[in-house]
Amino acid sequence: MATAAISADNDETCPICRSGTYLNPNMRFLLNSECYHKICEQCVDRIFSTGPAPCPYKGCGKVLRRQKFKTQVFEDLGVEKEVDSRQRVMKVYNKQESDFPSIKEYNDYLEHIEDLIFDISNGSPKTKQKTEDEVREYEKSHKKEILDNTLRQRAQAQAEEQFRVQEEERERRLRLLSFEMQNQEREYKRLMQQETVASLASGRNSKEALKEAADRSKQRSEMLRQQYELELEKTRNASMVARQAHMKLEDRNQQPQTPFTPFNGDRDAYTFEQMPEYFDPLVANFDRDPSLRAGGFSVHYVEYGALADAYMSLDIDIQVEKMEPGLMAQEVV
Amino acid sequence: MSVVALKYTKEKKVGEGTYAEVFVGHNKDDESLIAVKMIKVDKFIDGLDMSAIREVKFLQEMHHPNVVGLLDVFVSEEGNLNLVLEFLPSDLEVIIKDKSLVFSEADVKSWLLMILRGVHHCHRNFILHRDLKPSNLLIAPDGQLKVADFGLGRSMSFLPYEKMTPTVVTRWYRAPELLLGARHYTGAIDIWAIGMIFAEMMLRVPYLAGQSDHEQLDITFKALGTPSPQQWPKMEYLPGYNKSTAFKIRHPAPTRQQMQALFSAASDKALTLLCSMICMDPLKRATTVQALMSPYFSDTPLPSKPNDLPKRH
Repeated sequence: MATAAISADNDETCPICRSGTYLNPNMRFLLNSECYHKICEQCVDRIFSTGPAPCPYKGCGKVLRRQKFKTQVFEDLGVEKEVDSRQRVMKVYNKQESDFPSIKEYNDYLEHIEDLIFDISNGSPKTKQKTEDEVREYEKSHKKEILDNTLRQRAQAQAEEQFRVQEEERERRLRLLSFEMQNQEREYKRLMQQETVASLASGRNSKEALKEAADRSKQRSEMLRQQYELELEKTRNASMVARQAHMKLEDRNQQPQTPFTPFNGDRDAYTFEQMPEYFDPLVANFDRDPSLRAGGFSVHYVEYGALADAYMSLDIDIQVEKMEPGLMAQEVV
Repeated sequence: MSVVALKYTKEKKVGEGTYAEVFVGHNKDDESLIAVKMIKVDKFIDGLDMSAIREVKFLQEMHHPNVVGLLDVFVSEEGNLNLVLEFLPSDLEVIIKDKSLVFSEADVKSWLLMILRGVHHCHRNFILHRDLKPSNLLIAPDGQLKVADFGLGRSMSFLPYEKMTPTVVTRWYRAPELLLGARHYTGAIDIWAIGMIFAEMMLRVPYLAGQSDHEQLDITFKALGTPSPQQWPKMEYLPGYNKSTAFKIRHPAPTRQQMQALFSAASDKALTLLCSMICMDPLKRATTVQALMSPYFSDTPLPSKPNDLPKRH
């Protein structure tokens, strides 16, 4: 372990072709998320260019593909492994907080994901296999949902990005506008001063000229402020529209608050309980006519009919039913 | 003229059958649209037609958003029986046939859910519909689907000695036990018909369209496999078994892949539900309760809201 660490720092050698960074400083090492064995780029090209092949490491033998090789990002292989498995698990388990009825369930979900990631990256080969099977099984059974979530998240990210860009543009324009306002103001003041001096020099009534100049300056700054506010309003509106579009997108993706009820309140709630067997001479003859069975009859069915005839509507108040037709029997107690 | 009759107007004739005429009218109280089904009494020497009596009998029993509502019944001056029904301008057959409408999975799910809820209400009240088909599933202006036409309806029989006629249900939607002449049958025949309608909604053409009653059994077995005595115990005792030629050639049951290839748009859960509703053995066929509890309905996409369903403009 220690020697490996030292050699990794100074002189890395590809265990397959034995060439190292000492001779070839531009050498790149690649690894595969199947077994995380480091192989130099040349070797990868050489071994896997003709298609999938087993890992050249002694005793590994995992079948690898050229496409799946990547450069190592983290020095620690453990971290690299965990990041990889995290990416893979998160791609499958991609629900969001809003998909859960309560924060507790969402937290349980997150914890389950962490357990899976830990088992895959740190577990024994057996637990690792088991966990990967679980992830695969989940992926298979929730294909549609995962796709929906991915699409939704992508659309959300897009809308958010659009909103951010618009917001930035708005701020930039406002900044520009206020800068321009200041400039104009300064320029105008300078001009006014010049004019005042000139008019004073030409001998007009100084008081009147000063007042006139002050008025004009006021008017001018008022106009600019109005323009600024107008612009502010305009950009604010634009960003509101963008935000609304964003909200609508979220809205549409939101699941209804009430859970799905298959029967919509119209469910059997009769007041008798059927026993598994009865003494009934009528039913004793049942087997004599086999066409009954073929047509869908069973002893259970016949007995159910008899029980229903006997106990049906015992708990129903006809007067209440008459007042409110359609009221379910179980609601009238 | 009765007081009830004065409450409604008959304005336009929109349909005529052998025993009834249908008018569109208004409720004078609140100006809402209604339909009046006028049953021609004089056509029948032995009194009122059976189907009219059945219709009144069963519709009076049932109140459910997915079963057509009978608002009133009155006898007009000429002595004709009039049923005042909800006004339902469209039906599922029209919608399935209109190829300009595109159905999403959520739409099909919503219709199937409403059909099953309506039929569950019938079965829960021990009523067999016995004529489920797309043209008997009417669509309200707000998109709600309603099970209608109880002219062939019947109370469920639980008695082994009471016989029922096997010549019910329009041929393409007729369950195999009926095709084999069973005199005792259960709500499973309605489930089979719903399964056929479910398939038709996905295919946009009738699934098993036989040209004759005899051919219908052939086509059914060709599509779904000839049942073996293990798959359908005691079927050889059904009255029509020995007369039928459908058992001469044994068709293999389709594999899941073949079904998936035929119903290419169907999800895994949709296919499982469909297969459970078109099981040959009526005792193994899903009930309305089982069908409604199927994970197909709770799975995404959620069923469309009735108002958002495709409709003709």
